[in-house]
Amino acid sequence: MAEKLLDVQHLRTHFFTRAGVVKAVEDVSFYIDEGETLGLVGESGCGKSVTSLSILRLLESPPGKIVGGKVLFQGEDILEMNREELNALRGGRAAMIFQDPMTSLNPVYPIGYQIAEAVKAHLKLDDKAAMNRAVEMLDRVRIPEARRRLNHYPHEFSGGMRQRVMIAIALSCNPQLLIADEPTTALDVTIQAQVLDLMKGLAQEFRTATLLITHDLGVVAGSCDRVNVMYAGRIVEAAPTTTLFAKPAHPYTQALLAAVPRSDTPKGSRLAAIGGQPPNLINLAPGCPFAPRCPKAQARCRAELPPLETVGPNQQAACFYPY
Amino acid sequence: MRIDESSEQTGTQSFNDGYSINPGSELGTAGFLEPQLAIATNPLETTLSQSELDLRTQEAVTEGQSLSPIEASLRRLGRDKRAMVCLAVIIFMVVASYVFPIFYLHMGPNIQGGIFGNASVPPELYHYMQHQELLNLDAPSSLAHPLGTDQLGRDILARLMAGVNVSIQVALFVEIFDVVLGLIIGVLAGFFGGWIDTFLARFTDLMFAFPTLLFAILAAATLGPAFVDALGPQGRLILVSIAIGITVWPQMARFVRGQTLQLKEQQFIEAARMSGSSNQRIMMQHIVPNLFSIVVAAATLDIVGTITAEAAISLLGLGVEPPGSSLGLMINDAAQRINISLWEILWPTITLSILVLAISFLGDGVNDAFNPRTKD
Repeated sequence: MAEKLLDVQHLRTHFFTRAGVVKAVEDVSFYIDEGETLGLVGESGCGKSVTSLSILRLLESPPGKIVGGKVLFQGEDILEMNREELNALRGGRAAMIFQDPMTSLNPVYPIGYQIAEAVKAHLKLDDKAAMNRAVEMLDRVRIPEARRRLNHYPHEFSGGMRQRVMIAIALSCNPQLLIADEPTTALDVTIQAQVLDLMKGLAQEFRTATLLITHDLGVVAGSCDRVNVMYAGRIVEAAPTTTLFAKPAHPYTQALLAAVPRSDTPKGSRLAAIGGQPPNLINLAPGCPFAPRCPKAQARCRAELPPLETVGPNQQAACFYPY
Repeated sequence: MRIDESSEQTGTQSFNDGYSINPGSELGTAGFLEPQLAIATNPLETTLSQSELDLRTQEAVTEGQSLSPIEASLRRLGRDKRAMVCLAVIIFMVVASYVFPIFYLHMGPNIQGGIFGNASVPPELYHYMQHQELLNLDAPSSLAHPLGTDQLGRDILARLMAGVNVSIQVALFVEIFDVVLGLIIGVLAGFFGGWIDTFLARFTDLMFAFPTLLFAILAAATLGPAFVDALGPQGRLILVSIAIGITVWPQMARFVRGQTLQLKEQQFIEAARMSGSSNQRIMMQHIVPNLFSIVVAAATLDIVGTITAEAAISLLGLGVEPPGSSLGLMINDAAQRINISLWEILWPTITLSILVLAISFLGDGVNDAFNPRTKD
């Protein structure tokens, strides 16, 4: 097995707001091996994005604050890094792709300049070499006529193309880790597939490990090696993708899978949904956060917090009554 | 059958018409339409190879050049006829008021004049804006004085041009002050937020509370003599400019802060931070260039207020001192002679009105062209 590239241990991120302390990420631990793709899934507001932002310390502070844990990147703790080390890491060894391609490029600069900027800062190339690198990257993300397109402005590209430009920027400095925060949410389905295939192919080619954050289980099935499921700021299940889809252990994962519309559902039948709302992260009741919505909840679930425990081969779940 | 055929025919015809009327407009539609046409007219050639399509799109796209947002805004502005006419008027007034006096000093006949009315006075003298022809007061238009003379026998056209110069100098000075201060404070407040924002925003509000005219009058009345002592006759003008500048920038700072707050939430800022950019770099590279539109639009409209404020202060006798000239001062002087010679007050008021209206219309045009929110 390859070495752990990123090892997140007991990460806790809280937001200190007027209404109270929001425990957005609570005791989250996971790891990513080199070259591997890890999926992080969950409903909106369960802490996926905060986790990814915490890893690279991109949270606005205040109100956000990382209150505990370690983020080991190739053995170094990112949470202990000073500003220069952080700036060298961000965009260099670790890169990120954002959700909305429409606003993630600066409208006043041509895209070639925006790619070259990152390359110059991290690979220490001169202008010409940086531009050549930009052309090469645009070619790699299959933007036709890359050299001519260098001088075009973001508004001259479609959403899918902009996201590909973002991928080009992210991968231009040969990062070891790529964090993709819902990279396809803003794109339509056909473009989604293209972009995901492209990301997957390039990640393999560049031997880049990917943390893919999404709420779309279809995306996970198509591109991830392993999956972590988050709920209410905690990881509730971690398993290889095939295992997770074949034998989900946590009731929440089961409910999520049941909620995916399928092509073989009888026409006219209602879509399955998980009843209720995710809990308010300010006043979490003791016990399992999913208990109020869980069909299998017992008295013990409401009183005690289930720890993340091994329930099968390579599979962990935070549930007293898995499967 | 027949009806179908005819309708189909008219359909293709109108399609062809549209194509021939507009062969390749800005985006090079010709290249995009061609394949469709080929499909529509020739059923045998239904598909084009990828390379052919590439070739066609390439042709089409290379025709239209790539425009930065600022270039696109300028182009939009260029299409605004009213704004362009106003721009021409402004440029004419600026150039004329700076360049024409040089020639004006050598134009015109020698006249009988001087203190006793018997000397020969050359245009170098009587077309100097401070020269007084005391025997030729409140004169109507003549060859020597195209716009007549004022109550001290000074050439009105010469004084008018000097007055426009003053208006433009004050406007420029105030705008530089306005933009620099507004940008710095607005960006810092918007970008950093927290206590820096609280402090700067409250300070801006405090400065915003000063009414422009009252503040400038107060400054001119209290500090005027000291500035004149220190800086010579220009001192008052500089003081008035500073006073106007101080009351104008808070508006700009508010605009800039608001826009910065919005920009800060855009993902490219997060992406820039992600790629290891420092705060300073993010502000200079990513925030400030994106503020260009709003700053240009706001500054153009601020000029109007500045020019009228300077005129008003000079009108009250607290701006430019008498041997000098200013539109406001001329209006004030002429107002006392309104019964004797009406044209004396007409020239400076008309000039001021045209200048202010032209800048105001240009400002509207700039706002429409540059402000992303007013787009279409």
